[in-house]
Amino acid sequence: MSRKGLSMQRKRRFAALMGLVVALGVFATSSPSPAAAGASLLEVDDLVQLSVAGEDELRVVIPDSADLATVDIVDRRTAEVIGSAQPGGEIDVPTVMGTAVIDLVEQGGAAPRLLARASASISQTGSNLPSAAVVVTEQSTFLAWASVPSVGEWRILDGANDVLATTQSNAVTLPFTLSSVPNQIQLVGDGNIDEVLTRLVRGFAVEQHEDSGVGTASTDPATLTTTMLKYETYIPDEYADAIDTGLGIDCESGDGSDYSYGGDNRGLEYDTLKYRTLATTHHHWEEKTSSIQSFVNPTDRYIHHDDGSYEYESSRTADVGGVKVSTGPNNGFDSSGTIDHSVGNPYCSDWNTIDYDQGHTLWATGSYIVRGKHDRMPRHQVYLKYRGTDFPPLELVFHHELTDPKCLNPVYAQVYCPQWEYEYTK
Amino acid sequence: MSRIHGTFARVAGAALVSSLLVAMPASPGGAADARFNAGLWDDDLDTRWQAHVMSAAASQVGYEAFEDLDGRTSDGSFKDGRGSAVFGMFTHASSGLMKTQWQSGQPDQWIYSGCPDCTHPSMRMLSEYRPLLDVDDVRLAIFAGCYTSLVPSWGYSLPEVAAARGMDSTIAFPGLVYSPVSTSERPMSETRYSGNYFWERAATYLKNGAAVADAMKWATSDLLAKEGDAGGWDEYQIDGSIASPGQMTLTPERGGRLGTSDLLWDANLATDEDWVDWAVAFAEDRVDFANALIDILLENTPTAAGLVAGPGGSEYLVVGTAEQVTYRFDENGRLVDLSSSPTAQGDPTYSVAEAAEIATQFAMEHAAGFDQTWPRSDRVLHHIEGENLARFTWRPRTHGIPVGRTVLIEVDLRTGDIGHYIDAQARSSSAPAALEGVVTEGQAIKTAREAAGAGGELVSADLEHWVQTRWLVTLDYTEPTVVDVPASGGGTVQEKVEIPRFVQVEIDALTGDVQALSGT
Repeated sequence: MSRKGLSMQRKRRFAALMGLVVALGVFATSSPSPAAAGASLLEVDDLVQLSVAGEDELRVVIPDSADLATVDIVDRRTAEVIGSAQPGGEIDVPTVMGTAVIDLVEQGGAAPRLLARASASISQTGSNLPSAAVVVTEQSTFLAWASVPSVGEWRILDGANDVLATTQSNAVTLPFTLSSVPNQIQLVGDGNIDEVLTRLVRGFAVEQHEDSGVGTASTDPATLTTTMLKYETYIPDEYADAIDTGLGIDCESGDGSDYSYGGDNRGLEYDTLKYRTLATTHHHWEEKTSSIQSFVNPTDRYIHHDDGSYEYESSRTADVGGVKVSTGPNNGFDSSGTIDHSVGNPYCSDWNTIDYDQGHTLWATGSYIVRGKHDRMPRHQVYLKYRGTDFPPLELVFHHELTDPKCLNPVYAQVYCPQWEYEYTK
Repeated sequence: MSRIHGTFARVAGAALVSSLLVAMPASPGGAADARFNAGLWDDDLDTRWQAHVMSAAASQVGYEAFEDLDGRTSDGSFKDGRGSAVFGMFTHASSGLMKTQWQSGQPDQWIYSGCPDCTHPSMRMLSEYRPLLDVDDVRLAIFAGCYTSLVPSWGYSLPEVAAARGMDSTIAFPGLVYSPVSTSERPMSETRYSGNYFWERAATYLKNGAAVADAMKWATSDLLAKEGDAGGWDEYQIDGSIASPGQMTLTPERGGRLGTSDLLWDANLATDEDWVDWAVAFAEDRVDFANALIDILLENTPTAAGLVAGPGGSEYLVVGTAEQVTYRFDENGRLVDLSSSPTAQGDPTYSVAEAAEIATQFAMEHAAGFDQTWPRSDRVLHHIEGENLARFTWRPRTHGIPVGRTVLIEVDLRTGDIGHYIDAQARSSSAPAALEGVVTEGQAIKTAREAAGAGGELVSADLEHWVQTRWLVTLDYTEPTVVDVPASGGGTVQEKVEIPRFVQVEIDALTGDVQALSGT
């Protein structure tokens, strides 16, 4: 059995034993059902209504009241026109993995006019993420999502994790700004916010660049020659204490009090060598090739003296086999990748591995779906590097803050910090 | 403590360097590209870390950096070179060609230098780049592989074509260069030795503003100190289309388009008073450097100074002088190395024997404990076209085996000046108490063959001491390879090409355990 298999089996067994704790009601949620067909996702007055047409199909309706000529629905991933509608008309848009990213372009004037950009995701079986949609117009950003039981509050954050809005309803409208683009909808549990933060996340990266933003229809879709996805886990501090759960599943020192471990001593950075693990998929669109890499940095152990100083003691490196990266076929237009990650501190029990699973689909037009779940320790950062015309060289997909080293412990995590589920589409 | 900060200026030939810091080539994203190709090759040679660290360094100074660590198609490599400001290939190579990709059951893919009137629809050659157009924006090209600076029988060398097409500065190697031999299951973090360590150190220096020639010298010094052997990387040759390719830097001017970085010099010093002020302030926090600060003023005219990241998290004090010499001191104030810019033109005025006397005298004055009776090896070489250097290397012996120190000095045969001085000392330099109990040569060779695989021809088996007493067993697995190479006038011709495949096995002489494998 593989190391991960063994680790996961132990985790599940122990988790079952500890299920009683959960059953006592310390924390409980129920998953939302997949969205029912016909359920409305979002309605922007006099412009567009988005709703779920089927299990994996989005319906776009141009209201009767809209003062518009013919509206083209353009798939931003393929840059192809899916269909056209006049006020009162509707078009069903196929989704990829339950997601769609479209432009609404009005025809009939001197030049095509980009009315809005929309992104929608339909809740998938097995996911806790509710169906949601965002529409960006020249003036505003409209966001809406399906209700979820036990929600205390929703937060809307930008890419820097700054809170743009909080709400207890299921929709919000924000003014358009270039400096703070809504990027995440986070659900805050109805318990203690400090203890149980942002369990569910739906993210949107909405392109709102000045030179290609809302209001101007792009006739020549930008294309890339290379896209590289990098997923880093890192410890922001210079030193980190050992995991000390009190459940007997911690580090070699027994109670974790003797040693500290070297962290990465960094914040949000790119292309640094300071990480615990790094997994990459690299896609060359012209050559229709994709490649993978995985990296694990050594873990340095230090004696933490009473005077506060740290003395280097030894170093070990975890097995890079705990990072399994794969890519799907690259047809020069889209490609995909998966990362299955279970790597821990090599001085500690493999109960306490950093676990995450992630899948991504990337397009040569710059669109993407990035979704997965991860332990809430340490920090998780995913970014894309682009090479192509009219593209920024780099785009942060997410940078998720850590909660607590104890969240690596599956039992503790189940109670206090369940895995962070996310999806980002563009 | 107040620190004196100044603008970046290279002490030796500051005006020249300034003229080299030309505007970066534009790319759609606003910064220049840097591309690096490497791989875990079919014989488990693992060069991935080299590309990874260079890519990270380039990114951190503002380039749009990408690395391909699983090989690259020859087409892809060719395009990478065309679109980049910095381009590096870390791979198997021979004169005039570098392997870009291997796949089981598929023909290997290569980049070739070129030959007179070479044309071929599917072969990618550096000579295909349009002169002064396709690669004129390449500041630095790295051909990190064996024999890459040599001229093949069928055409041109890689550096000469690169220079002719407009690449500003190139780094290539005339002999064997060693990198770690790994496996697909082994993390790269366990391959930070040999060539991987050389490029890790070079990347650190380049990122911090060092000129290419300095970065090569200092990386040589660091690798020598770490492992007692520079693995062939110390014979780097720098070429290129500009007048002083060794002075090329990776970093732009401070505040330039690519952003800022920790540049090399913390202070520029116009007078001795400036130096004293700076040194006093500097020594407040770093008393261990005090002796070095005093010595440098007594013997030289310091004009710039700063700290650079030394190996293993240490710091080195680096001082440039009006004599156009750069000194580096470790945290104990010991002179680690010294470098200057040798001449590139003129007839030699010193014989190798005379240069040996100069080098010996210099070592006696600067390398504490140096003994001129230590065994010495001599050779003549150059790093930049036109240089004429004599290199002398001493290693002391205990119980008849080389032990943990190397003093290396290169002397300019035209001027008699010291071009490069290294006093490399092992982290733990205590000599072995005795050689009783070490594994025999026969046992070491047997172990090496088991580790490296059957069939290799024994090249050498050396017992020495560097941190620990060890056997270094070198085996040669090279087999002539028939490769289609471009032919003058068009088409191809089959050439028997030697792609060197040497494996060096490091064995703990006391336990008989294999410590590391490196190969070419």
